[in-house]
Amino acid sequence: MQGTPHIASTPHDGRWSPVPPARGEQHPARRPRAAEPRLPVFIDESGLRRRTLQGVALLVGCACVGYLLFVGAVVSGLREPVGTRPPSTNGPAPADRPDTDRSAPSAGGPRQ
Amino acid sequence: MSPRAAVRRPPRGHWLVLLLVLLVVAVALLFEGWTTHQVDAARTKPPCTRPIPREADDGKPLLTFGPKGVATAGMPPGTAALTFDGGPDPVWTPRLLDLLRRHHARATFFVYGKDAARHPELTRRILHEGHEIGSYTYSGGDFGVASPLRAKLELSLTQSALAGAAGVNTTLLRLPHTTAADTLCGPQWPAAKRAAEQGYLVVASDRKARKPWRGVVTQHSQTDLGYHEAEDLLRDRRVKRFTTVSGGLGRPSFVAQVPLAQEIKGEGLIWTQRLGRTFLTVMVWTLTLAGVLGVLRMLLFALFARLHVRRLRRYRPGAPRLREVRDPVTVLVPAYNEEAGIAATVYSLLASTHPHFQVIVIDDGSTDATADIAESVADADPRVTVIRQPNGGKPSALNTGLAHARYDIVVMVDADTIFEPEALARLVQPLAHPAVGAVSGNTKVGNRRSLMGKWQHLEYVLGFNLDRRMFEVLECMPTVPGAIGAFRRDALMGVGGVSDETLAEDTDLTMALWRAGWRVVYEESAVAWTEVPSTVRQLWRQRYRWCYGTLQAMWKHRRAVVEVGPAGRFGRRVLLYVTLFQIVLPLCAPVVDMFALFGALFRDPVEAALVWFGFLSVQLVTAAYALRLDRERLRVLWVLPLQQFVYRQLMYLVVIHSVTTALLGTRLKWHSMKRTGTADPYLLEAPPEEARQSLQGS
Repeated sequence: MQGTPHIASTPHDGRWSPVPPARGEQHPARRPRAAEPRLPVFIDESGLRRRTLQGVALLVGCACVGYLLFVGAVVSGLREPVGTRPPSTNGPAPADRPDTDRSAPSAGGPRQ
Repeated sequence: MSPRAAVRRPPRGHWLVLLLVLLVVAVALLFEGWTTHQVDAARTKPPCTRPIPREADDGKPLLTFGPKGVATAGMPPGTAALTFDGGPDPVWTPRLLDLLRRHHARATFFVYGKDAARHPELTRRILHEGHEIGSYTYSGGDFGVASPLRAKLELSLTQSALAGAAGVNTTLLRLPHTTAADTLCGPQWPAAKRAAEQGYLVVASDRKARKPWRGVVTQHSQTDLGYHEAEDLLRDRRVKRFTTVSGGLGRPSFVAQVPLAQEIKGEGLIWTQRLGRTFLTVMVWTLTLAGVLGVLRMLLFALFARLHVRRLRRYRPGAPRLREVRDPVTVLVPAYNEEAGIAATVYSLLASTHPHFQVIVIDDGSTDATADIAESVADADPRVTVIRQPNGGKPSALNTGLAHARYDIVVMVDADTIFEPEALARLVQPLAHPAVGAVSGNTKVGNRRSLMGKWQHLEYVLGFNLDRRMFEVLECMPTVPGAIGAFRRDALMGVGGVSDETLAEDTDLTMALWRAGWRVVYEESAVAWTEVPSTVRQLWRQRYRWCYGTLQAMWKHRRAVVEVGPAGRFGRRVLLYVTLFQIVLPLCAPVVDMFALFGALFRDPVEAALVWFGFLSVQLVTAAYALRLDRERLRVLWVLPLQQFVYRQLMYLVVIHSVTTALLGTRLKWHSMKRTGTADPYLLEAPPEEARQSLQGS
């Protein structure tokens, strides 16, 4: 494979021949170097992009922090149980219990 | 501030954002894993080792745990309290509700907190139609085995979910995996007691054998089976009343309104759950896609490399036999503070077998003895010329050299690169074809003793033997490396020389050549040895520059995508490839790693290991193939698994950093300060001597 690499590594000779290699010469010295210093790619002179992106980053950051805080609040707030005692069941079947009124849920008994 | 003054440090804020995003991902993953019992699991029912206390074992289904012991209750005769476990289920809950409405019956639904949060409208409908809601815990974790934290969270998250979904709370609880009261045996009993202490009435069910007319609490699942059981029961004429648990007891409802604050909190929980789920679904798809793409890429590499090798070896009648290129060559060696390596580079060039060439060393305002050393070599050999210029950057040095080039073929060499004697002659051979404008050589790593060197060695071998062969077959070579590349001088002149608009002038130049209609090919037999950064810091800076430069070059030549002919084909292929595999995938990589970590820690570690080793073995096979193609030893493959842990992260963090810098449009120091010469502006200190020697020795 190393014998004639120049042949080997130009495998598309047939298809490639129509490309005029001289095309590059049609506009020689199109851009005389060092004459006009161009701004490097991506440089944003106005700083608008920077500020926009900083805003977006701030937003994303706030959203993330908010989410984390919220999850923290939810998890830490979960300690409060729904009540301290089970609601009473004394209905028709068993004998009456004295604490009927206290635990009536409609009166807000089991709530916080 | 004035834009001119806006020279800044590289950005840093994005690291904080990345950290926060990863933290959010971690929390979302943990929460989701918790609800699906991958984290802190409590799935299986523990075996019953002890029956429930005798006082409670009277078969009655309602258990009130009080300070004086447990009180039981049941439904009065003629009353059946239908209870349905699980859900709300989008299929079966509406059907059950319709069924109950047809029979004017009321029932009790013990719902999962997570499902109530998922289908708040169903939860509201259940309540709206007069039924009662009980807690079936958040995820259905078995209380007999649940950790105290899980038990607590299961209950209170459910309350939150109900508060968010319908603005209510409930004091009814059914423990998952229990039916009649005597199934609350073993560890379930103390768990039930603990739960009841938080204000719950524990609802079991009557035994199946009990006749409904005697008063029962029945238990059905929200399935086809449960539906039919309920349907049969509702047709039972002897049952006078179908009602809720509270209704059967003649008590006020066990479901009560909650204050607004809790409702808001519950709403938040619902949104968190929804967001987390959506996010995870998206991530799983992304991950799958990334994995498939990664494997596909490896396979494509192997395929194209194979194709390339076959092309090289195949005898093809019909192809014109190209002449051997023996034309004189100008070699340009831009150098900036390269006193340690310049002599070795020039001597290696002078030892080339190519019959006729000229070496031009362009000293780019070095502050060390580079120019003097080069001149002393020039004094001994007339083929060497030294040009001194004030510091202007590598592109400017190359342009200066180009202006002094005497011959039509120009080879560009980095001043820290050692050419093999054959390399020059082989490198220029593809230029025999008139359409070829530039040729890329094959770079190998010289200082490969250290782990860093080995990693980069592997990376170079893979890059040059797989990527480049594929690019060659697909006709979209994106870069002729600065270390070894041959160009037609008129092609260079045609595109206006080497541009300094990007930091990756080699990529920029190559793309410009393609767009000017030239072909760029790869000559794998032209080998040059180069030196790679030996510390993480140097590597980081080098890659930052490369990555940022590549982004710049791609952006600069983005119009290639819509061009016609070879330029358009090149543009579409290369921009797609680079965008996908060198930008998008690395940007997803941190989250991928997060998932991998989660999978290994909480999911099946065997599964995670299998996936990981699967990927690794595909990589190993392709890397082995690349090494074999390059006639390198396979022994170095052992660093490939290690590469996954530091190197990979470094590489994707560099991409994130570069993309951020590019998006911000910051004017960095290297844009406005004096440009440096060759390989890397940050490799200002001379390379370590021993590395240099190892390079020369190899």
